Amino acid sequence: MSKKKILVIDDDVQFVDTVKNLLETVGYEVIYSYTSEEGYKKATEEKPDLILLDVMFAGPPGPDGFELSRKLAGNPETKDIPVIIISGVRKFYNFEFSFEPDEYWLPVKAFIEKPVKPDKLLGKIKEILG
Amino acid sequence: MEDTSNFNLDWCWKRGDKVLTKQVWNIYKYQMKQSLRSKYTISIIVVFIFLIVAITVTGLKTLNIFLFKQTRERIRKNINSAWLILNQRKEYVETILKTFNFKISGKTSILNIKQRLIEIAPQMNVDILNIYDRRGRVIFRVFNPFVLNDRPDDALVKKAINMEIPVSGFALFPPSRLKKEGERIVNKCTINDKLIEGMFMGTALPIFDTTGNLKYVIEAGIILNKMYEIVDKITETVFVYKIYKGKRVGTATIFLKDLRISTSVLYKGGQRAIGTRVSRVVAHSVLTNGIPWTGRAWVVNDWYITRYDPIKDVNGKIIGMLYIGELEKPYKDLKIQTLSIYLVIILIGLIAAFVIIYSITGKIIGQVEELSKATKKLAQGDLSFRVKVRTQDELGTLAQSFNKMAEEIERDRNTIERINRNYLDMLGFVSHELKNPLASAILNAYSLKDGYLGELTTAQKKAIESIVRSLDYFEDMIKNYLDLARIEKGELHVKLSENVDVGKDVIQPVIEDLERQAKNKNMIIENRVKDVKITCDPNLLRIVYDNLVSNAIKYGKEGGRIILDYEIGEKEIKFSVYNEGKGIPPDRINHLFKKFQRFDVEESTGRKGTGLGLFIVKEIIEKHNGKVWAESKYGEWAKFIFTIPKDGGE
Repeated sequence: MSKKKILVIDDDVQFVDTVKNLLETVGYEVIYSYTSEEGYKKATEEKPDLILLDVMFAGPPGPDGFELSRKLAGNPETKDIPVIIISGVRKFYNFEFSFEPDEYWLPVKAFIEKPVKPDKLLGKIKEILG
Repeated sequence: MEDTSNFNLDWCWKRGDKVLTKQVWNIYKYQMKQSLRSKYTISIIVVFIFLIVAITVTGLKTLNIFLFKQTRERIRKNINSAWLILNQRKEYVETILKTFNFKISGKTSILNIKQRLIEIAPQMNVDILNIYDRRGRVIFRVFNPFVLNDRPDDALVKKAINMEIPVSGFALFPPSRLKKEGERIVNKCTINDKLIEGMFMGTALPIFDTTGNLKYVIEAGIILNKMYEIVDKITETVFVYKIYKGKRVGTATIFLKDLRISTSVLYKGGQRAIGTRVSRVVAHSVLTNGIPWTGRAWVVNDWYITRYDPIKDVNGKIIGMLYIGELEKPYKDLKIQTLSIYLVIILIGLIAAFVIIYSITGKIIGQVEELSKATKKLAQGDLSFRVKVRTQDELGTLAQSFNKMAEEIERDRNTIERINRNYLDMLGFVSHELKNPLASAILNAYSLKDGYLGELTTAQKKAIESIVRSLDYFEDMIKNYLDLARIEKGELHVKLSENVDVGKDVIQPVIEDLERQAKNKNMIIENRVKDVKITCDPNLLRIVYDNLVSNAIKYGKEGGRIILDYEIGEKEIKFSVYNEGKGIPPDRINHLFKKFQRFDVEESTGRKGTGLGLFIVKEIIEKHNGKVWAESKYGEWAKFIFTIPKDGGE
């Protein structure tokens, strides 16, 4: 069984490093991107099994996490790739969405709030990838 | 003044309805207290009314005196006119007699004189025309030629004989004499079927022979009894037959002693009121004392302003009265009319005064009221309110000063608010910025601790556990400060969603997050909240549960139970979070929900909490129109309870 490939899209370099370190240690292949544009490109080119996506992009201009998730869902090549949004943005924006994300609101499988503990993160990934 | 004062106070008091009276009195008292304006207006009006009453009394007195004087003056003039008319009639007789210049001479005998008198009698228009000899014996009566030779006791004739001059004036003729004068005279002097004396007015003219010896006396005159021509003429001349409300304004009467023998006073039926008598007071004054009487008097059937003059016979003896009277009613009505005009003027003046005073006090009191309103607003925190400067006096200056003060305060407060806002913004920003590095640190630390990155030695494990605890505390703090910043900035808006499944949408994610923490202390979280749907802000309610369950884990005893339960009430749903452990000391239970209130040391970490969690809980629950409180048996258990209205508090 080949290693599952996970794409991490986040502008927080340190967090990407941390997640990469953890996921590789427990046996996933990790690719990453610091911008949403590059992330979208990598998603279409490399067809990861799962995308971990941050909502907030303070850095270079480009679509934010919500937009990117919709863009991915709209592309037939990427629409089947499950997306987990992982972000500290919820309280800051006080966004309106039901707690367990459904397809109607956001085309994502799960929403994890930062900071997250490895148990929960790995648990969710395992749950989605099977 | 808004008006609830339309209560009839008198009515309420008279009714003796105690409750109602009390209410009315309270309203009354309230209004009195309320309105300085009406107080001032009323006191000034009271002074005004006092002045008006004083002026009215003085005015009335002056008016009375004026009217009285005027009336007196007129009555005096009128009685003179009456006398003039009466005397004219007398002089007319006297003049005709004198014109003929009767003298006994060779050519003119007594026969000639008789003949002459018979000729002129119709023109003279008299009742009596007699010739007497020089001893006073009647030798000829023109109007009753067959009765003669009697010697009546006639004052005029006697005086003419004695003094040998013409004598004019009044005299009383007794009934016996009147009978001799003929049936016509008797009829004239019969009043109420009784023959009374006759009042004679006329002239006695002595006739001399050529040598100057008195030969005869001619007497001519009128019996005034029932003789209406004169009184009618007086009435006509003096009062021009004025009629006031169906009544003659002026009246004239000739009295024989106190008896009306000729008058223009009419009974209601239109007959003349002869045969009636004058009042005793008048009789006493005029007939007994000879003093003319002026004043108000009741004449036959109404009040008149009257004048009674004595009528004296040729010897100066009072034998009757001449009366004139003017109906009092027109005067009275004039007085009432004058008075009503005066009262109308006063009333208009009073109303005008009231309006002026009210508007002046309105300006003053309005300014005061506005100032007091503004002060109240200021005290309530509305710093934008400004007073309208209505007057240019000291009050206006006060209003200006007030506005200046309010401006200063507002500016200061805005500055303070800006500073505070900046502080809160920064607090939020810093807290949020800390989140990112914290996220990496926590993920790293937990990965190490939980062995995902390889086995650790016991010392390493001990160290990483300490790091993890610090990071947890750090995370708590950041969460709480972010929430606090939002609350303090007033950004905590409740976004209500309907049909929120509290057990599934709110509690379940919280438990998932905290499950590991609970497991570490061998605690079981029992969620009994199932299928409870309410209207609430699920994100905010999750913060509530996050805090309460975190606390339950932190302060609960190792291996203790945590129970999340609910109870449906009439209007609200009661949710509770229960844990076993030390509980809360009774003296602290009421202070739990205050900001920065830290009451206990966390057992597992040896650290205090941030002191913000329960304050945030309280703010969120209150925004949902609910209540939150704690119950505890110290040493055994603690329970946090909050309520959410079924309708979401709308």
